Amino acid sequence: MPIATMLEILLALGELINKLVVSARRSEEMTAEEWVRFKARADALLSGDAWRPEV
Amino acid sequence: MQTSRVAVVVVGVLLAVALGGCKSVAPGADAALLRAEQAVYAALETTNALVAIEREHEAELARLEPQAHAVAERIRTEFPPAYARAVAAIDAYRSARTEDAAVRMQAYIAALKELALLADGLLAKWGRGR
Repeated sequence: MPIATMLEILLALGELINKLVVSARRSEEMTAEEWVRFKARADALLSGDAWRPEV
Repeated sequence: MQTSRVAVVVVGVLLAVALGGCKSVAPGADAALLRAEQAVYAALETTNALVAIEREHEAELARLEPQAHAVAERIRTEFPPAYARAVAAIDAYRSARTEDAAVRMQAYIAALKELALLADGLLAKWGRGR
């Protein structure tokens, strides 16, 4: 695998680790506002190009 | 590459924790809801990382792992409706915290976990450079 690709993947994994750490540290459920924000962000992600299946 | 192995192990451990391992729950917090939210969050972030990387490097990753594209396509197709069902179940549980609603919520979360673990398996291979 080209080094540049490897580095991009490692950067993405690092970003994922940060997000999972933050989530794992939570000890109480999301507030209603946080839950709404989460769903809006999820909807935006899921409608992005990366999620579009091939026809 | 040692760093990538560490990163992969860390992702795997954190994903296992986020998908339902033991974690602290604040007094008065709803443990079932907390775990469901964390599982949905972890599943979304993990699968999103997978589909984003795969789309960006599709040709290279296909040479590395011929089944990668099929797995990514399965996630692109199956995750969004599974996510929608899980979120609807969490919304229902937030509205009425009954035993039935909790059971339904857990059932839909299980489908998301399966897809997240599939994504984690591929990310682990890619993180090791193979």
